[in-house]
Amino acid sequence: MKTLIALILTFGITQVQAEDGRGKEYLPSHVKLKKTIDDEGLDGLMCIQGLVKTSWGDTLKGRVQIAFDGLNFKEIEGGTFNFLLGTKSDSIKEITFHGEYHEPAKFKMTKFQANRHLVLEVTLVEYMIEMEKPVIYLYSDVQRDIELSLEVNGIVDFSYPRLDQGKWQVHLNGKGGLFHNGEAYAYLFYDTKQTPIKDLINSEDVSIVSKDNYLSFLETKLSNLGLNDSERNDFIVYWMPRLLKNEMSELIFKSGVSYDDLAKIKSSEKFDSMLRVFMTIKPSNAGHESYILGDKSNFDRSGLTLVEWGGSEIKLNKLP
Amino acid sequence: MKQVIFLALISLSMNVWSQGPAKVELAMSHYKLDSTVIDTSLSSNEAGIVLNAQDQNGSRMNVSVYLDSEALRLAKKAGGNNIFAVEAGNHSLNIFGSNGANIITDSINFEAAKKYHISCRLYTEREIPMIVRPAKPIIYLYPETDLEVQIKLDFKGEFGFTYPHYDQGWIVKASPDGKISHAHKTYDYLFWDGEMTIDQKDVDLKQGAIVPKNQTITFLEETLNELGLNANEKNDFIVYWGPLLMKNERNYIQFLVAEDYDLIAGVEVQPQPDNVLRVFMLYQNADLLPGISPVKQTFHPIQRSGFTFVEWGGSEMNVSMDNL
Repeated sequence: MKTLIALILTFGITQVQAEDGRGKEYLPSHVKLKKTIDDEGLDGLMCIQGLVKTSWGDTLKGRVQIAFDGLNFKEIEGGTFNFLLGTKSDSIKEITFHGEYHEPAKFKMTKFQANRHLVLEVTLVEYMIEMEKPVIYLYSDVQRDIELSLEVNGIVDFSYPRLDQGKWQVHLNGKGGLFHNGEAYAYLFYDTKQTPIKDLINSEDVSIVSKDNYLSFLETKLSNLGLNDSERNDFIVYWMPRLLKNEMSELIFKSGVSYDDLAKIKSSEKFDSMLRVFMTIKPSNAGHESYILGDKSNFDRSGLTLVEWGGSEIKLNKLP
Repeated sequence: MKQVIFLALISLSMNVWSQGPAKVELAMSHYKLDSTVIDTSLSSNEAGIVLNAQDQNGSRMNVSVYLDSEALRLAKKAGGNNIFAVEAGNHSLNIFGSNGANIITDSINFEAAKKYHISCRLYTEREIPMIVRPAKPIIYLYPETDLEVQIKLDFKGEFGFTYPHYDQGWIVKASPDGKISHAHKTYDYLFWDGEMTIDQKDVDLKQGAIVPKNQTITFLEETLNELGLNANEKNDFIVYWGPLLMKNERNYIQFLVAEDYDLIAGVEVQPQPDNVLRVFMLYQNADLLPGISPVKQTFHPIQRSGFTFVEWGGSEMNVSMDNL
């Protein structure tokens, strides 16, 4: 009997090679039947229950919508679900699980089974998104030639000046000037695509900020992190127009070593000081704000200094 | 100015018409010779013309017809509305609709004792609203000495984000190194963005360039150099617009420079700068603008002596060829 049940369920699991630059293997979003339990107590009904997990194994705490044949949606939060189907539901062929920024997972059924629990494990995989506009400023008070290269967790889409075989050959003239192949630039720039969201949101430094307070929050936060007026200015005018589209946002910061999850910088010269700040924007419907402003940094800009900032925006799926 | 634009558009559309897809043909007033039938009721030196005239909504209307362009000769009505009798021979017809629109046909050889059925669509010129979202206009100020500067934008749209805050204008202190002080904070530039509606026909698609994706950066570098932007300004421009432009395989790009920028926003600066450079880039996926062949714009770099004011911005357009 057990095997028969297993046969009427399809899992659709295929192994894919994720293009995240590290060669890790990911499964696409999928549903596994963990077990079935016969239970006369169900009184002729059928029970579908289980847990929704993220692709890295922990419970998906956010909103998940469950659709039956693309209709009759139920929303859950917290990762567990448990619902009863009556005999009227015996025509249901497919249950789809939609996460906020995840590829949906489907579970196919062919038959209504009275007095039985189906225990499912749903894994929802996050979409990959762009890391936008990381800008790298280099400061040196003496002349230097530096070779820089990037090791990114994604694919470099656009760079300016253009990365040549993955490298920038930079001349700093010691007076604030940055040159690449004889041309002057204000900073180095790159964009990547296909960055896993999990790397972007994997941080303790998360604030929830409402529209009215974006600007004052960013001004304080960025200066606490150690960005100077110009760098902060560039950051703010790039991200504020984007932020203002959301009434409330979750702002996830990665700085210091945690930025290495996203992109590592290799350099022919050792930097005396380095400051890297990355912000991910996620629309929020939290009821209240919470800030992590941090303490005023004593970032020391002496010697060869690198400052980098970038960001990304998680756009939520329009849940049915 | 309006007239110039209108004429430019007519000749542009004519140009498109001769080579372009049917979709574009329908966009302008046009006519078609539907059929010719022998009509023995006509006298031996007369031809008949039956006009089926409609306005842009497809409603039928009455027309008056003038023959040939050299003289205003009103065609003789022959019974019923829109039926005319003309002397046999070559004539071009200037057809005026009751909606005020007109069209001039090519010379047609009207043979005696034949009746010509011609249908025409007469479109009046109307505004075609198009939303543009000026993104990231940035203003740099370079005075010779520390200077208090007042700036007022004449923007006929709704402001989005401004930084520092634009309160019916900016009053700032500018320094020769380009730093701008405002309410005890220092900025490198003044920033604003917003949303506005312009008349699609105010954009002259005859000017500009079609730029393939892989030439985007070179094109921007060359143009911005030609305009006289410095390395910093150029850098800011390219890293902002480069990635957006490169989402399309080919773009139509036009620069609104100097007073042309006023289409988006005028500006008043006190004291008056010695040199002003304002550059606004309009772009659109070129695949959505079939049949256009713009003429390359040429520019001359500004002098950067004295008090210099530099502003750049841009917006994607959504010109619809169906409307033109």
